[in-house]
Amino acid sequence: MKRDNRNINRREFAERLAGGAAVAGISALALQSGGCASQQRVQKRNEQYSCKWYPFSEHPISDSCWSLSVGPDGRIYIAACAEGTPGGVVKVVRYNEKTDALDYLFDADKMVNDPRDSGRATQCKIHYSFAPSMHDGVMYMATHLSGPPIDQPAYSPWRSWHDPKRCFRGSALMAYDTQRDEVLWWDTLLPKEGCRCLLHDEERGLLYSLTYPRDHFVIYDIEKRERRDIGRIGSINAQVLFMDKKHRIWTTSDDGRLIRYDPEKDRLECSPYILPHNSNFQTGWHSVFYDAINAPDGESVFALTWIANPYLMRIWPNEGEWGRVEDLGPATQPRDPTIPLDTFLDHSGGLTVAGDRQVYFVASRWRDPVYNPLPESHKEREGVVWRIDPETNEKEEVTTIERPDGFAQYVSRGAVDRNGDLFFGSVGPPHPVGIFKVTMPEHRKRTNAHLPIRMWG
Amino acid sequence: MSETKPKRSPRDIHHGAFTSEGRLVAFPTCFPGASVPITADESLITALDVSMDGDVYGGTSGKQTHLFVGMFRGITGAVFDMAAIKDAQHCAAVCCGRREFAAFVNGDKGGRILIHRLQGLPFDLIQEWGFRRSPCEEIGVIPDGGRIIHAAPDLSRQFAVGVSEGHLFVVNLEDKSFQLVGAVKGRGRVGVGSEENFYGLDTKETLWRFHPSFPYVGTPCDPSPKRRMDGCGPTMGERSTIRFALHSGLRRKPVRIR
Repeated sequence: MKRDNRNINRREFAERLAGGAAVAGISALALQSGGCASQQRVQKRNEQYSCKWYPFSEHPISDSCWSLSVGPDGRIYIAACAEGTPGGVVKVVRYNEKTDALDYLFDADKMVNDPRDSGRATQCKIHYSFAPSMHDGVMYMATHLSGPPIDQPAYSPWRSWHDPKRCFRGSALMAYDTQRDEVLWWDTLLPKEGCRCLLHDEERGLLYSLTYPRDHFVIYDIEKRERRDIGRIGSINAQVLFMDKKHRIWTTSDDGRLIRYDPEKDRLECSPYILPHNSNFQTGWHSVFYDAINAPDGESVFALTWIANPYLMRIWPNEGEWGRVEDLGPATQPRDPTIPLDTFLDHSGGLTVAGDRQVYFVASRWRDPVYNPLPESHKEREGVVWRIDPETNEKEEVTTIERPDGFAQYVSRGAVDRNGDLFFGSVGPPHPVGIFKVTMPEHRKRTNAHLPIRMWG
Repeated sequence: MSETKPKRSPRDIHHGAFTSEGRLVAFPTCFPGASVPITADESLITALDVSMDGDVYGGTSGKQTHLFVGMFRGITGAVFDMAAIKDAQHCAAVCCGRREFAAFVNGDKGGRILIHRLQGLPFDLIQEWGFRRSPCEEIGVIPDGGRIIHAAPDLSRQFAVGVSEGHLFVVNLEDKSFQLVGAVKGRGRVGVGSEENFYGLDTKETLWRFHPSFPYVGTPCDPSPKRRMDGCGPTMGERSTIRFALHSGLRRKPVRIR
């Protein structure tokens, strides 16, 4: 099919934005080295943290890793997504600490009987939708849409909404038993729509989700296998849900306000204020949550927004009627406000708490002629690992993650495994994408560092 | 004598002032919430054109010229400040081609013709987008520091015809070439008529006509019997001192015949 410059699909969009390895002058030699050279460089720069890259070599068309979470068993579960290739599907992967390699667990399309060559939009990814269940060792996983049918170059959920041959069948919810290594059961969580993000309220046996494209807030009763659509939030889609001590579920609206579901009232409520943003050129619009993690104190949450020039904030949801929000400022570098930069370049994610009870996340950094004139010898873009001391909220750069065959500025999610090491999911060309492992300094590790576990994707 | 009631309602007077047909888009010169508008004293819009896809391209005047695009179709709704033009304070015209657009700007050193690639549609301005600036290419300079008065594209969007204070010129929007084709002291706007004719005024209030396929610059409204009124041959008189030799398409080289 002949296509011109104006019509690009999601994969091309990401590739154009990321620029590709050629832009950075990354050599084939670096590719062959398997990341050793970059690993050594990282270690030289910082003796304490070391980084290693694990490509999805058994899923060569994988272009994005949207989900990376620690399971109830303390191991790292990963979604190797393929949203840009017609007929692409997600493979669920797990890091094997004994072999220091990735184990490929299953293909989602086969597991939920929605084959990649069906002609419909495919089960191409799991998008911030891993949610653990501690009492039975299950990891819940819900799929998302956007991967085109096998004979189409792109997929629009709006265009195919009423097309029974093309329309995405729906987000498939899988209950994966991490002890027996099998999917115990699956169900269609959200007909026709994808699951943007998932949260498990284990005490009440409920899964909370946001749908895409309609941005509805849906509750799924695990025991009854029933869903209930509570309402529509907006058009943009927040990328995360979090839960407070009162079992209230929090997310954000299109204009950057807090949205809260209170089970006692069975209502979706909206905060009277807008979350922190850059008032120089932002209004709060699109300052939806990208990532959120419980602080070690158990009383507050660190959160990042999903807009270029994302903001870092700390929220105490249990204080007062609408909680207390502390603005921790922009997570990324200054930039030219006349350009609407994209969220692939100007991005921050991967919030997690490590065994040292410090908060970690990754923020992008890139060459800018005015604000960050990196030399040509330096990579044009990189991901910077930051550590936040929750006692003081002070932020410190601890290392950079380096991908030998491309850029590493976009990290989707982060997690700490039971041994106390950090893992980050990566998005961007070239294929296959993969994950980073950041080995922590010994004194910052502890056994079962993943506990208390994060209950949302 | 009874008073006549006004036929127009307040609503007609208010909203009707802006639209009686078609669609009005009132929009800041930015992507609201994601970028800042063009600086106030650089944002006087003096040139607009619409591409074949329906996107609006424009140029500003003031302390510095900016070139911008407004996209209000698909999953869009933004104005993107594509370029701030160094040493230019006035934009006389923009003309959209099929892949590029030409900007006709003036500065202290006179008029210049710039070419810039048309802006591709961003992926999705509700969810995720991406804008990058790409450089302009300068393809021509008006001789002797003359200022560009105006320019207009042909209906097929393959070329544009413009006038400066002393010249008529053609810009090929396909191969990005610039060519002086006549001596005209331009004034006012260039108009596009039927059958690929371009019209304009000079400083003597003379209407001139230009046809890209015919080797002449004509003055069809000039009553002088020395000049030919139609487009069948070289125009006689003072304005017929330039002729083009057609090679292929729009590529031609002016030949002085007198």
